[in-house]
Amino acid sequence: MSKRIRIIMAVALTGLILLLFSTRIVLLATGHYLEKKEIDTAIISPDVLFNFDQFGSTGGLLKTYYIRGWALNTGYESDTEKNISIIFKADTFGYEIKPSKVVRRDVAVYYSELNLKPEGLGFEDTFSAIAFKDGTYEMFVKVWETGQEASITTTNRHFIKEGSSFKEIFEDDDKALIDEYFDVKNFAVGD
Amino acid sequence: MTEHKTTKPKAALLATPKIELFAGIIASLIIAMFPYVYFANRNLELLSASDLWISAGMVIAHWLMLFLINLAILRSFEKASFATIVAALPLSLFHIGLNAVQKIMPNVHYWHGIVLFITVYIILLLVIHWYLSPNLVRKLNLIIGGIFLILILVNIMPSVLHHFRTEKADITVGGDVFEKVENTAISREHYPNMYLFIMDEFSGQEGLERYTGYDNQKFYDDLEALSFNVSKSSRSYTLLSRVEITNLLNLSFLADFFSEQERAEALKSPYLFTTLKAMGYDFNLINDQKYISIPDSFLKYQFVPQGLFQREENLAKILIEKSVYFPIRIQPKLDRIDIIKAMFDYGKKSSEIQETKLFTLGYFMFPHHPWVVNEHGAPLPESEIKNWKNADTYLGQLKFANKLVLDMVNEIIENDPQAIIILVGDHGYRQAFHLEKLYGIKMEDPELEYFFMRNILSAVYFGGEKLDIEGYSTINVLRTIMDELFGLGLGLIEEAN
Repeated sequence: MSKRIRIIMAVALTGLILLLFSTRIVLLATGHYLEKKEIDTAIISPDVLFNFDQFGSTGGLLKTYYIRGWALNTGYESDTEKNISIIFKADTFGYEIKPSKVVRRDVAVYYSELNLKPEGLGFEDTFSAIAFKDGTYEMFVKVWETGQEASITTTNRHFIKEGSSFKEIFEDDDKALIDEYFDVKNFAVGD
Repeated sequence: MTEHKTTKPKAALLATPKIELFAGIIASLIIAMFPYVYFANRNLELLSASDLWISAGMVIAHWLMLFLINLAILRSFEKASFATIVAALPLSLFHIGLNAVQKIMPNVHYWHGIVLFITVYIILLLVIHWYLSPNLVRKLNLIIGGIFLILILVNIMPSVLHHFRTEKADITVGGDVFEKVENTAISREHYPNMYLFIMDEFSGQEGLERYTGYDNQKFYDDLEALSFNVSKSSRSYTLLSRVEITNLLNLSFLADFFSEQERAEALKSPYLFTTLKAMGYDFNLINDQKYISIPDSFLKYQFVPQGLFQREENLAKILIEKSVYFPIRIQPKLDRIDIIKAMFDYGKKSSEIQETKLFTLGYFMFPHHPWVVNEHGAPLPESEIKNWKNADTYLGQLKFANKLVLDMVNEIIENDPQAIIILVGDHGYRQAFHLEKLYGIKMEDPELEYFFMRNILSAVYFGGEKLDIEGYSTINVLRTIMDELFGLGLGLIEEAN
């Protein structure tokens, strides 16, 4: 085999390898890579309250979604550091998104009987649907105080990732229930 | 194929007849220009002269960049021309190709296409460099260039013939305006600030009820509470923004379809502007998409909220969206929301610029698509951005527009209670037209649908006073206001019904 043919084959091989790993490289480079892991959501806490003020596609090459909302545990101590993460769980694995913390005075005021500081009650982030494997996911909210055990609750929202599409699944009967559920505490805008 | 060593490129260059070298380079330019010609030809009636020039410059700059890169690598003019021919179309039509592949393989993304293109391109450069003779490459350049030249001619011929067959409209605007102004008895010191806000695709009450089932009465009530005079049955003359806006800025219905040259001519010194200028007015322009092409010499202030690549309707945008560079056009939709809010904020601030004699013209491509927000201002899914099938998508953005408009005019009236504020749509919600155009869903009664699609927002705050504008087109609203204010005796023209 001539040297020229070998060079052409090397270029083709390099291209092929890059082709196979390019999605992972792009997700890592943009900070959107999500580690697939086992997440236990068997125990649901009734003490976790939450709301998504915004959940929508912002699109782009990475098919990003913007989420913004708040979450808390009614059993929180007032002075502790609060944390929130959003979990998308398939049957055998899941992804955990750790959004940025947002100060939510409106939530602290609304739940004044809990005597909470507004720091860390809100969350905001974007995530890329491309980071998800194809499958059906249930969305959970996880909250915890630093150094304490986490509490998890389901949002009763389900999503399907299929190819480049990432959609929420609505079943007519369930949708009314979900709407009713979210109507309980619905703040317009945060700080 | 025979291997050719690439020694003495200079000698080879000198040996090649200059005419063939030149023809090869031109051939690569012709191929690079093909998508430009194709898309320009299909959107000719929507494009401005600046669109055509800017886009042509962009395509030529891109071609030159590609050619110089290939020349630097291959060190041969004919091979560089051939490599440019090979690369130009895949780069220009990259997005179309990617979309086609994604229909079959949805997990293929932009970066896969890039890696594939670069890999194939490098391999092709090596093949051209090592295995293709300059003579063969020269012939290929001429053959491919010839084919594309024929394709370009076939594309533009119908438009050229149409251009020569169409009679030119007689555009004489302005008339004896200066004489009229000199005769007016109103004191120039007290001329109020005027605000003309054109909201693209802002449907009137009748059209809105027909296509969305929504009763926008609350919005009209709120306007009336602010002392606006409203008309629910006003209509535009056409469904085309460029025609309608050109007409209304000239206060007359000049023609139902302009050529680009005629439209540009009519906007060089629009009657409304020349009249107001003669009265001593200054001009302030809010120019979404840089859509209004009035000469800058008229303007004292201007707010252009976005750069070339963020605009929605121009040829450069079309070409970029089809090409490998389409990601620079994918702005997160939150940007568009910010732009919209910035324009409305500037509209409010316009009431603080001058106490009198400022005419603010605001063109807002809103609630026109891209449909990016719901009625609460929260972002919509990307799939809704141009979803003509779902009337709720448009309705949500219109409801949000209601809020922004009320907020803006409320502040203007607070700052400038003697103001004249004119709120109009350039046409209504054109769902029926787009469903037919995009999806082949025929209108049962096109005349009836055109009647409702031309129903527009029309409301006037006349310094807090009453003014009857019911059923008036925007041109007649403006003529009425000019007559009331300055006694010009313009009268009304035939209505748009």
